[in-house]
Amino acid sequence: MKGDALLFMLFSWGCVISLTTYCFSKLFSSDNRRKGRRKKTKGTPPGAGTPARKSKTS
Amino acid sequence: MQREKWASRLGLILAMAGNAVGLGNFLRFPTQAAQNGGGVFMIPYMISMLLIAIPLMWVEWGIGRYGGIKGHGTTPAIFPLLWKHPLSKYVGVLGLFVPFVVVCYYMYIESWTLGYAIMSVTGMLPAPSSHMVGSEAYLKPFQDMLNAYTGMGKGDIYQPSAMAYGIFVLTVFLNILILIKGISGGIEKLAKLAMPSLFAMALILMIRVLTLETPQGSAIDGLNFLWSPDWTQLSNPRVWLAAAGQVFFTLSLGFGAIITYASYLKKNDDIVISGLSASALNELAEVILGGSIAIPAAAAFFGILAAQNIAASGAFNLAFVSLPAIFANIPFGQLFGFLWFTLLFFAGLTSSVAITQPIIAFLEDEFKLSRTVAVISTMSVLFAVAQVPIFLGSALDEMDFWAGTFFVVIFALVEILIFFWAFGSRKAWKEINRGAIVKVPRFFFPVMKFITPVFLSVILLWWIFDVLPDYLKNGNWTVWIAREVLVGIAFFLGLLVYISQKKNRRRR
Repeated sequence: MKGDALLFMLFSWGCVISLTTYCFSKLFSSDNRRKGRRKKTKGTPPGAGTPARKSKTS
Repeated sequence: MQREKWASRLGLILAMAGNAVGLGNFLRFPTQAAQNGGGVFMIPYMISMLLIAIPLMWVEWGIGRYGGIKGHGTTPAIFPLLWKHPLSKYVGVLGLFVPFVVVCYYMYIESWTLGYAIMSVTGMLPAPSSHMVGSEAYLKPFQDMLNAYTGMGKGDIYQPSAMAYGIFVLTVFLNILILIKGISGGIEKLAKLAMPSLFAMALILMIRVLTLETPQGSAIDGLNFLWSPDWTQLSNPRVWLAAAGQVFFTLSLGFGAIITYASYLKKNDDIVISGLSASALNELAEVILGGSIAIPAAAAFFGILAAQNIAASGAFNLAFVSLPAIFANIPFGQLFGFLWFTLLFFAGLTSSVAITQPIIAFLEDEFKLSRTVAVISTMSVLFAVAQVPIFLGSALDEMDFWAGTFFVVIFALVEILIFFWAFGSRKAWKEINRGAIVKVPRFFFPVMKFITPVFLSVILLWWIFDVLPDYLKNGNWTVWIAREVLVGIAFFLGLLVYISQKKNRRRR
């Protein structure tokens, strides 16, 4: 392929592939974070999430 | 009545991408790029994408999600929420008029792709020539085949073949089957099946085309032709307008379909990255796959000069004449022809269900009709109106010009003015960013408020002064009938909006 044609093609392909990779990596990492948060709340018995504070008087 | 919701984020993104990826990605983009400076076309293309398409896409997602929260999925009901003016609901009629008119002829073209897919696999397309006789003579049987199939090019009244009409009925029936199953049960399931298949088929075709080599040339010559920059074209305003038009149509902006699809989102669902992902998938289909199939194949098979003529002869010729002729002359051509037309059919089907959905949503939301009744009544009227472009000469072009080109830009301009100026730019900005995985960069605020509306106004003014006078000069009687039908549809939809508002006021 001619140099300038190849340059324009690779530039355009690069832009599109980078945008797609960025978007889907953001989407999947946000989904994983959400799933992780849901798992955490499911696995914790009620009332065990936050340790009770020690009373100053005790 | 509880409104439906998307079952998964991936399903929504694929459905939105399916709406955007259409015949234009594989046919319009390569011909536009080839005719407007080759590689240099990508400079105005990328700038227009950044200044028009992406901002407008977020605006449409934002308007849709806002309307959906309030129980409405179409602009005649959403615009009055954003702009407290008695005219707003009638301006919103454009959001029903544009998609409805477009789908009336789009579904017919979509049916050609299904018909050609069937003919490819059953060997009904013209037989390959044993000796090369120049591109024009070689393409003639395929051109005659298209003329016989569609009945076009013979006088004012077209006579499509029985097969073309039968396949059109089948296509309408397939659309009904999908639409009747609803958002998550029909449209989302279709997107999850059709979009990965479409990408897989396009990839197979791309690899096959890039390995084509004949005494006339190779696919690499085609890529050279498509991507070689012609720097003189960069100062040509027509190239800039062509690029702006292309990015606008490729994302299906101004059709009302994105607004309706986004209305099925939940209140705090992300729209920033989801919208960008759907657009990115569309670009992947257009720039990489679309740019590497049709034009490189034509260049490899007929040589560069003939490929230039083929690109200039338009998208229909490229899809239904040149490509079948090429596939007919390579090993396993029947299979590749089938893949090509099935790919186009999937691209068409995911778009046609999307642009039919606004009318269905309007009947469901505003008249409280059941899904089945809404789908059947919409498709019955659609089938009746579709007879105009099927049988009347030049009616398809006329409908495409008004609804598919002119009013699309007007509607997009109205959308952004109502959302960012009437509703309020700060409220609009907040609405777009609610629940966002990544906030929209601040750079886009002035772009959405000032630059996109100005850019759209320039395109509109250019069309009004440069293109419109030529169109209005066309005084053929078939064209006037098509125009009267368009006015009739606009009045009918306006009347429906008036009745629905009156009914809803009484209900409240």
